[in-house]
Amino acid sequence: MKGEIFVEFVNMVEERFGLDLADRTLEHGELATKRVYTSVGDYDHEELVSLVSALSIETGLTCTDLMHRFGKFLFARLALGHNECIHGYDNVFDLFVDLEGVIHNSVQKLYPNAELPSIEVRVIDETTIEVKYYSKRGFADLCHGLADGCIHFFQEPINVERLACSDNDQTSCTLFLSKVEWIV
Amino acid sequence: MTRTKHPDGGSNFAMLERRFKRERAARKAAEKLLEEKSQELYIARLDAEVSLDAMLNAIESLRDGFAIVDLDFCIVRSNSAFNEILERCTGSSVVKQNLLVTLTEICPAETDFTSHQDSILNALRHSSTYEFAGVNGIVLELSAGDVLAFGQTVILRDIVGYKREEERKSAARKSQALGSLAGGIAHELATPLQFIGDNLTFVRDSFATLNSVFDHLSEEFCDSCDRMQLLSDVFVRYDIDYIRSELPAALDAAAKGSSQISKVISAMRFYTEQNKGEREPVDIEMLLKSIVTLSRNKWVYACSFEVRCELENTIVNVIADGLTQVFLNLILNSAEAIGSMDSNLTRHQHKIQIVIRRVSDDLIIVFEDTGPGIGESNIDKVFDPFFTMKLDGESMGQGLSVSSSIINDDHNGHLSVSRSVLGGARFEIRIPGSFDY
Repeated sequence: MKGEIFVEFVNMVEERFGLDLADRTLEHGELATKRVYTSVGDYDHEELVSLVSALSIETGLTCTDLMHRFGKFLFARLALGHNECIHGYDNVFDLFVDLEGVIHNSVQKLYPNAELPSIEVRVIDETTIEVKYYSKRGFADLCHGLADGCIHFFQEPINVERLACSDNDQTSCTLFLSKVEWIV
Repeated sequence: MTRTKHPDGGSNFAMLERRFKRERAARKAAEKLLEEKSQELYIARLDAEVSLDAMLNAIESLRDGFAIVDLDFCIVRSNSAFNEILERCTGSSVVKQNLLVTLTEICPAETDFTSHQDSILNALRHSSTYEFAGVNGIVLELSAGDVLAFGQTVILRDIVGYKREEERKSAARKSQALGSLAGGIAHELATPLQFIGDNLTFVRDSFATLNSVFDHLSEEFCDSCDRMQLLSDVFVRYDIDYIRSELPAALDAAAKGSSQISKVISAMRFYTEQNKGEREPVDIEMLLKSIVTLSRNKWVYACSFEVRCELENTIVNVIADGLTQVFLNLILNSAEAIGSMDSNLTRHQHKIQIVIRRVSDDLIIVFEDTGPGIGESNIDKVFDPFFTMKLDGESMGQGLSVSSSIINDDHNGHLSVSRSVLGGARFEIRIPGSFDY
């Protein structure tokens, strides 16, 4: 997994929960990399799961909640740091439709070793799209958070409904993104 | 002033120290990664340079013109063949010029420029092919590749040159095959011909002896009327006098024929031995005479032949295979031109005359004939590919075009045509540097 994800995770913990809690999270348990992350490195995705578990113990929040929060935070940071990828998009649906064919292709060119999740998007009608996520790494909650981060970024009135995964399976999930009317 | 310790100061310091250690370790890890990536980049760049060199060499070796044009059709990169084709049309360098403008400008004056430009643009935009006539009789085929981010590739083919090259290759292959065949036949004929020649000499000598016997018998029997009568009866019964008068002439004719066959075989052997595609020392007089001999049946019924060599040293540095083709083309053209004339002159009054001489370091070979010559209206076109003055289907119109290419391109020389003082056509071959070897 790209080091940038880990660096942003540490940034989120420091920003949202403070330096002290970030320090405790990083010092929690034993990790192969000794919690040293650079954005240009590659690390085992299991370390992110361990870090989220440690943060969950420190904060008392569930891993699902923390992963979702991180997804939302991550989208904003990626949009800021990799503006060239989303430049030209002004809405959530267009971005999701191009995610697999255009954006993931660009990422793959920059990082040939990147193991990207499979994102299958189906346009149901003008107001709804179905997003199917699959990754053997099991970051369905992170995907959900990223989708919410995307909606927040474009400031669109879109509701996300997540189809319940059986046995809390994190390797796949289905999200329905539906446009809603602003209630004034 | 006294310093007091903050209640949480100790733990904060420890926490910051751990953070500092992590940041420092992260920086070192990043630097190590950067170093590795720099190495990879350096190696990748070397690989890319090698690949680029290989690709450029491959492109350079293409017989067709190849270029890369940017999205505004400006020539970014091109091979020598591409530059050479366009420079032949424009007479100036085309590097970095706009391909659309250049191709539009090189068409003949009578062309509809707007339609022509539209067709070129259409080919470039739709990655298709467009064939058109340029100036100087050049016909070009433009094939555009797919439009990509950097622009597109363009292939330019000189169709006439391409066909001419194919004709030459085909002729060279045929010539090589025929040469091998002729060489084999010449070798097989040489030995039996030697038998024939030797036996004819034997028969002629033996007949001379027999004649002496007849003469001796006549002298011996002249004293006896009976024996003389008997001898006379034998002579009459077996037609001995007729045989004695005709046989020497018959044997001479057979020997002459045998000698002629021997000359043809020698010419064939010489021709096949010279059948190479490189410039090398060759006896030009022998080469020319061997072609004259081999083509004898084409001119012998139309005219006489004269070859005059004014060289002191007949060894010249030329491509024998190419010159053989040129000589044959010029001789056949002259013979056919003379043969087609409705003339009162006899075969002996018509002639093809070839003079070989040296001017400075140039080899000059002049072919002249008493044929009808080439009219003023056609004299500028005779070297154009596919130009012919013969009836449709009788000729491909490639002979003089190919000959011109062999002299002008392969020998860096000059083949020119003019009116001969003999009344027909005069072709002059000039090959510089023929005496350097």
